[in-house]
Amino acid sequence: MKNDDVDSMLSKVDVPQPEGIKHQQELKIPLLSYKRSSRAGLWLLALPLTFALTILLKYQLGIFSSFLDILEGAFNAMSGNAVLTYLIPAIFIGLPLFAMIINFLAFCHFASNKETKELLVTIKFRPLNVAIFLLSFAVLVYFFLPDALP
Amino acid sequence: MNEETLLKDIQNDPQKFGDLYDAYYKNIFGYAYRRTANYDVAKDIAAETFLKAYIGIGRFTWRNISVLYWLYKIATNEINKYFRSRKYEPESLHRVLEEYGVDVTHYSNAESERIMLEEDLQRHREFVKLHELITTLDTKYQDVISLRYYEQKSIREIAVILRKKEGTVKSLLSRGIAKLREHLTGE
Repeated sequence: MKNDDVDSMLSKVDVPQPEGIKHQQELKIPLLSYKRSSRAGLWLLALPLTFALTILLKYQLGIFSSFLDILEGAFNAMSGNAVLTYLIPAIFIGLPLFAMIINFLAFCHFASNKETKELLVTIKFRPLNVAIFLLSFAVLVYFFLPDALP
Repeated sequence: MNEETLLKDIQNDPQKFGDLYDAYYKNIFGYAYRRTANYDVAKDIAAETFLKAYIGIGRFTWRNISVLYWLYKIATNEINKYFRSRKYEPESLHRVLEEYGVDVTHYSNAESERIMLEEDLQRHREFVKLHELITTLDTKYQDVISLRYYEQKSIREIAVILRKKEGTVKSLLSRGIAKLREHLTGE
């Protein structure tokens, strides 16, 4: 037998062609709704978390650095701006609240069964979402403290 | 389907990826099935391929080369993972299934679909015999032989899919066939 014979054998072989497969539709829905809620949560927390950490490091832990002064100056400038003043509650409370909600929904699922009149709550083990949820909650608690907002 | 336009549409609306999925799922599942001759593994490999493509589609740059070749490349990598360990763990798929609680492996008609394809496979005895021999070869030979003879791809297309030079593909194909001949003749 020569290599050409093998080539000819391979060229002539009748290969299976799967027809009538339908399973792909089941994957399509979760595939196209794939989102990265964790990352979204982290981006939403960036600004309020930076402010909270700046204040904590400087005034609670007594750490002084020019970088923290620059950050504090930037936040003070925000509070002095007429337009940004109105946005402060949305940025420092609205964003962490939104991050908290989307991450909560990522690890906690609700389903209702009308026939048995039951509400089924499923809590999934998703440490990253739980961590961001708790972090968002902590940031919110911080900003609800008296005089916390810039 | 104009893929260049579709890729631009996908950048604005990720749901448009569904058009690519519908157009090429059969090709990729068929390729994985012919490579593995295993319905469940092929299904997982096809799902993982499209999931990875969906996640990475933003990084795909149009160079007048069909997205299908990129999908073949991803699928080939996944198939080789399976052949390295003889079991397949679709990492991205597991992550999404965990997130959305949908287990594609529990497709309601999976059993009947599996039986249907297995019966069809039994009708291709010559293919099954050759497949058993081909899977004993190194995966680099399996890749080129499968793409050339199962998927009917040209040397140039295989070079694009595997991101190798055409000369390298020809050489791999020639050596793969020689090794297969040795197996067939018992040398």
